[in-house]
Amino acid sequence: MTNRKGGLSKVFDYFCNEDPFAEGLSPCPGCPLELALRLLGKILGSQDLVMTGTPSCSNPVMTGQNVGAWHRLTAYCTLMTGAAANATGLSRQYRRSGQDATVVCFNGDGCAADIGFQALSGAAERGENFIYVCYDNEGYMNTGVQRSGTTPIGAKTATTPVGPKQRGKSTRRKNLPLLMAMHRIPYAATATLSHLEDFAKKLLKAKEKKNEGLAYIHLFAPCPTGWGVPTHQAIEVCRNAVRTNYFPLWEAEKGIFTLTHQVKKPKPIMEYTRLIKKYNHLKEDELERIQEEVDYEYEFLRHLTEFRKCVATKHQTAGE
Amino acid sequence: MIKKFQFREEAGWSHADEILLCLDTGSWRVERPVLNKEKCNYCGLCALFCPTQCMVDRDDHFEPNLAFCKGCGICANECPRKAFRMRKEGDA
Ligand code: SF4
Ligand code: SF4
Repeated sequence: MTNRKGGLSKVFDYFCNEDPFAEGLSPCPGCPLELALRLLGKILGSQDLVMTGTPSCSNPVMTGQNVGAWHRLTAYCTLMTGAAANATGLSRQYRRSGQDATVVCFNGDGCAADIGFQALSGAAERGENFIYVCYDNEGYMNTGVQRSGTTPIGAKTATTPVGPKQRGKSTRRKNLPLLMAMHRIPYAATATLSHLEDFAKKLLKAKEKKNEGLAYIHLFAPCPTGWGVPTHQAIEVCRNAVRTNYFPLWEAEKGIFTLTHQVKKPKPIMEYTRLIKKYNHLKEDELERIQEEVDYEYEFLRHLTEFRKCVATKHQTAGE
Repeated sequence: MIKKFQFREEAGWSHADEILLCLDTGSWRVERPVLNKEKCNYCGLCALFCPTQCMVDRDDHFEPNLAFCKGCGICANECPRKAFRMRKEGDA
């Protein structure tokens, strides 16, 4: 698949397929979602890719206007409540008719974590054969930056304002990737757009694993417009989210967790929040609260990765 | 030859076998990336991270396609050698 030129690094091998999209697309300047969409096409190749999605920031691009298309992929637009059910139908029909298709259900966090969660959870439990990609911009960005289930504590949105009575969102976020991994599906992983090799590897692995059941990828994709991030810093925000352990990169195969990128010296959460306007109002004690949340979630995850050892020894003794 | 795009009917599907819809995103730009070729070592990170994927490979460096570059500045921010500089549109 390689047509990389001599001097370029190996990473480029992952992005060799043709970009299925038109050159000028509608996402805001600097939006990682546009990068995610284009790279998804480049990594998986457009021959057997079937996309399905719901009303969201990606939708104007995926669906097209009237009879005009923005890309050469097969795409099907549906409603949020039934997104995963719709992908179920598509993947089953393709399998039944003997066509080898990679069905990718591409949705935002609003659909995955809130509105369409029951369908997603059901598909995971039934072991449907498709890839579910949730691009997490921590809110309903397309409709005007309202809070969603994955909006973190303290974040300012249109519906969790900052004023005398309220200081951003008062409750913590749902850890959706962890929830999905707890279904013990063949593959669940987190990825972000600053670590592109990691993202590409996980997508390719998901493509393989989806033959055994649902493969889920949680893609952290900041929204420059909604979060108040300068357009040139969106990738840096992704990187700092990983470096502060705010968004650790891991994968879980049937409930066995592995960290795919270990951060040696995690930075304080300040390194992440200072880049983003929605956290501008935070005082020291509020930052500490967020740091606590981050530490808790990371520690929890670390314990889960250690669980692998227990399982390994148990299986060994059982086999003896 | 460039075919003129025409809607033939109204429908709930779109024809991807025709020419694709495309926005003139180059006109959104307020700043444009300018490369200092001497600093560039052709690592390709700018092209990899460019959200519009508009970088053109020139064999020893990358050049933004200004017809579609939105001027976000990610290339300049991500380049490890700081070879790209953002310059206001209209300035020489
Ligand atoms: S990232 Fe910088 S050094 Fe690397 S190819 Fe682009 S301009 Fe050159
Ligand atoms: S300014 Fe943005 S759109 Fe233009 S080439 Fe750089 S990364 Fe790409």
